[in-house]
Amino acid sequence: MRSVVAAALSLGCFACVGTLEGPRAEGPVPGAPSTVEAPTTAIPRASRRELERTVNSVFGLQGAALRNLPADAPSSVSPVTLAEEEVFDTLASTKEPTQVFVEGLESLAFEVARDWSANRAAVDSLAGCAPANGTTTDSACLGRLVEALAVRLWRRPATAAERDEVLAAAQPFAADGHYVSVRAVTASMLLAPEFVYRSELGATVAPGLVRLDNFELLTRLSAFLWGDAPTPDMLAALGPVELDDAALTSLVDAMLSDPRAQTQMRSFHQLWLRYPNLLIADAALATDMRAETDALVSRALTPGTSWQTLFTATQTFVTPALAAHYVLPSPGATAGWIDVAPPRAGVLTHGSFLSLSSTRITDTLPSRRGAMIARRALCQVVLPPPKDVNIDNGVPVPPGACKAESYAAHRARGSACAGCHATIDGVGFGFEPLDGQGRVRSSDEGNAACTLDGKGTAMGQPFTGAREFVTAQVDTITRCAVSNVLRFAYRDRFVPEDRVAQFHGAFRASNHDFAALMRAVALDPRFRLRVSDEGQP
Amino acid sequence: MSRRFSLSRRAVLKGALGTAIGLPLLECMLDGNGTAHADGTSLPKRYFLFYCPTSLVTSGSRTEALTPTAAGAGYAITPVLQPLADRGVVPDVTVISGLFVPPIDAPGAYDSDHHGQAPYAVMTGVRSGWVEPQWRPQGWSADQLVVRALNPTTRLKSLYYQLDSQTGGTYLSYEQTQGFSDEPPIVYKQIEPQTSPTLGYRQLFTGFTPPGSMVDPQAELDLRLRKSSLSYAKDRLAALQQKLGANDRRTLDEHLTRVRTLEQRLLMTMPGTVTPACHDPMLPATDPADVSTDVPNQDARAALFVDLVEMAFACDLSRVITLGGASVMTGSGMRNPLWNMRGGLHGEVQHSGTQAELNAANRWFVDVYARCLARFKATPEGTGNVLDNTAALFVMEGGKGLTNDANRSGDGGGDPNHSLDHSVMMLGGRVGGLVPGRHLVLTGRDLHHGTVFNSVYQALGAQTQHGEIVGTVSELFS
Repeated sequence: MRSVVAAALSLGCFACVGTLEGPRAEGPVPGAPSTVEAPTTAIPRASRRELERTVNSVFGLQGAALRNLPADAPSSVSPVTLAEEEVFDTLASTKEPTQVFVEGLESLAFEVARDWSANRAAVDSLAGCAPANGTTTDSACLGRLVEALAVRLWRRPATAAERDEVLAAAQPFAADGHYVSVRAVTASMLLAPEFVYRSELGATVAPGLVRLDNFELLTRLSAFLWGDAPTPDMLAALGPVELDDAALTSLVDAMLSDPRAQTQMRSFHQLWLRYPNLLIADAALATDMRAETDALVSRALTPGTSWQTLFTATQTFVTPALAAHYVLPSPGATAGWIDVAPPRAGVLTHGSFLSLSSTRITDTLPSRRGAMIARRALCQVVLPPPKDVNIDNGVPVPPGACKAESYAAHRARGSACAGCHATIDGVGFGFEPLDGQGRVRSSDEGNAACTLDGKGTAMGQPFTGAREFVTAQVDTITRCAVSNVLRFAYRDRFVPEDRVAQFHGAFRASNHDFAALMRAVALDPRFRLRVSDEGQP
Repeated sequence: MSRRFSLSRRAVLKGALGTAIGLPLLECMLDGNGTAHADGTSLPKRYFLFYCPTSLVTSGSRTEALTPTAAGAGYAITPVLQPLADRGVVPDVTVISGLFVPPIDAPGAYDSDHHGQAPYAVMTGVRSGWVEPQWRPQGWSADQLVVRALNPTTRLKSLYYQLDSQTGGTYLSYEQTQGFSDEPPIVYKQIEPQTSPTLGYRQLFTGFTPPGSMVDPQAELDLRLRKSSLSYAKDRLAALQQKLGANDRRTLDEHLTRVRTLEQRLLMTMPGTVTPACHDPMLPATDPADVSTDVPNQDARAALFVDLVEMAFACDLSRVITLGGASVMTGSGMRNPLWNMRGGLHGEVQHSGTQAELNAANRWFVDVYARCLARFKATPEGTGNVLDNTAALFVMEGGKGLTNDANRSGDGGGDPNHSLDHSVMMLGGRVGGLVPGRHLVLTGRDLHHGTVFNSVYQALGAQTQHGEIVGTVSELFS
């Protein structure tokens, strides 16, 4: 199936860009609107961010996963383009169990078990019992603890056999006392594959297709909507009978009303737009810029507000120092919202975002910026440059020459690069009136004779300045966001085109209520399904 | 701050009784020359590689400040090499200039993508980029060749650390998968480096008992708990495997292999040969600020890695260590106030920065290398020191293409920093008859870096060859 996508993209090579909403063959699937897709793993591994949240939720310990586990790959080589591409931390195919990861996991288990078992009140509270004889190992109470931990760490009840296996593993520590035994069972259960790998084994409903059971579905939902494990109460409410639509809707709504959903939605935007990784050397300025974008994301997620304001906003949240940096009116003594004029509009004109394509402190490389915006905001796949091209310097600009003229001459030469430049330069030059730190400028850096008019083209449409770009492309950007939400939710690199179209329409119908988009994805009948390769050699 | 080793009578007795904990190597345990154990076995031979993730020049410059002008001993120290003098290791290092790796289809060459493929070619000696997939090493890396040849009995066969906290891109250590046979299909995978000094410390020193000291009951309990939980994890992984499809089974198989590796390490006793300097470096519980913060503290991070490398050798926890500066193409790059906090060591400094900024970066990397060597030199072993029994390499990502000849100047049509022509390596230590302290100029001989690696293998007594590259640099021994 990937080859279909590859073929589609390869056709786009000549035009520099393609799309990763790959066409996929459609076919009938019993019991649900159907899409036949590439097999995905039955054991998606949690990301470091998700494990950190779970350890924090269950044990009240902060930073354990962040300290012990390696960061998830921020990018990986696409099997289609063979280029390094940015990916979400949820992408299942990047989760190889390297030695560094496995050793980090062991260290995490050791540290959490040691620290948490020292908090006897917390242990007893979770177990719902205390050892009958002081600190002597109480196997009955320990068994209750194993059952409680299974629900929280494995996201399902342990079977009696599983409980007994954990207890047997802890048996050699019985003489060391109850809380040493607690250490043993806690470390073991954290090191069990059930903790880091979510089970999506499900039950086969058609050849190559499985339907998740209630626990698996709830776990998938909570990973998507919370980035965390489901609560014990939610798990306890599940029965053996498959959740009906009303029960599922009730669950999803309860999750979306939890503060964890807001945190998760903010995380999605951070991972998608990457603005927390801004390249601003001044630490105070960087903090202010991050806060500026955080504030706008929060505003876009506010119920009753169109999410598109993230890109179209004509107000921005600045500290007095950031306002001075941007040469904007001060918000007063403290940070606040102020009106901004074109070319400013939304997050694409924030210093945080604009800095990300910088290779220089202030000056910009239009092709690089254009490629970044094309990739991240328009979901275009910008294919890698020819191998003998060094893209880091940009097009050489002779002393005294204007950047625009040099790039135009480069395109006019009609080299192998021309097609790509024609696409990405059009976007990049439209943003040239904004420098690498988000300041408005009227001419090339160091050359006042070269005025910047902000004229560009995107998707074949001319525009002048970033605000016009956003106005013209906001629907494409919205579709791109939907596509990324689906990648994030399904932990996959590719998403079916029809599904993007479906949810794009639903998002529009909700007046771009982002929570409603998350809800629609979660309640989609296909969210219960997984394409499997089980049974293949 | 650190738990220094001191030898008590009790410890000597315990050693005599054959306890599992190793003892420091005393002169009385050596042969008459102090260069081998009394039973005739040789002192540990060690491999160390520091990788400087930069070239000699920026895209816009052909003038560098690293390569000495004069050849032989007593060469004038250049600005970038000044840390060698500051750390007192000039007599212990040979600077090797004039090396060459071709960007054409030839033994040990790379295809036109310099950053993606040249490190593979250098580190494996196998041509890179002519076999799909191109972005994958085509042979064993030098450290793994040494491990395979010497099969060290240390707790960790090899260690791979990276100063920059950003992962991804091209790494420096590669192993073969597919059952580790030499039969096709042969696939080489990158080994992920440890980028957290804190985690590296835990890997080395959790449960560590200073040699010769009493066993700490708490440490003993910790070890039992760790072994127990790993054993349980193995059983669970094996059970889950049975329910999965082929791809997922492979994933868990790899996971299981990693768990077994860790478990075997915990089952190993402390090494029998440790230097008197062996001690727990007691690193802090959290890492210094990395590039995920606004002001990364690269100096503090490097200092901790130097501590780890020093003690890994001093305590004989590993004899094969790679310390990378950064993986290549790490995107936003390795910021450091020393190079004006420019966002990308690669993109901004090498390609768009000034030569002065690159020189500052290179000097900093040379200093980290020099600090490691100075620590080895200060660690007594036998009648000499650890550096005497080590081959300590310094490898750079690029050289300086000096011509517009596409076969010498790398990719990009003559970008000198995308070239492995006129490359420089350094080789410290005296293991196996290496004679350091000179500037060896190899210009005009088109010798691949692999010839230096082959010389290192010879010095270490490792019966292996650096990929497709044959021959050594005989001058390194005379």
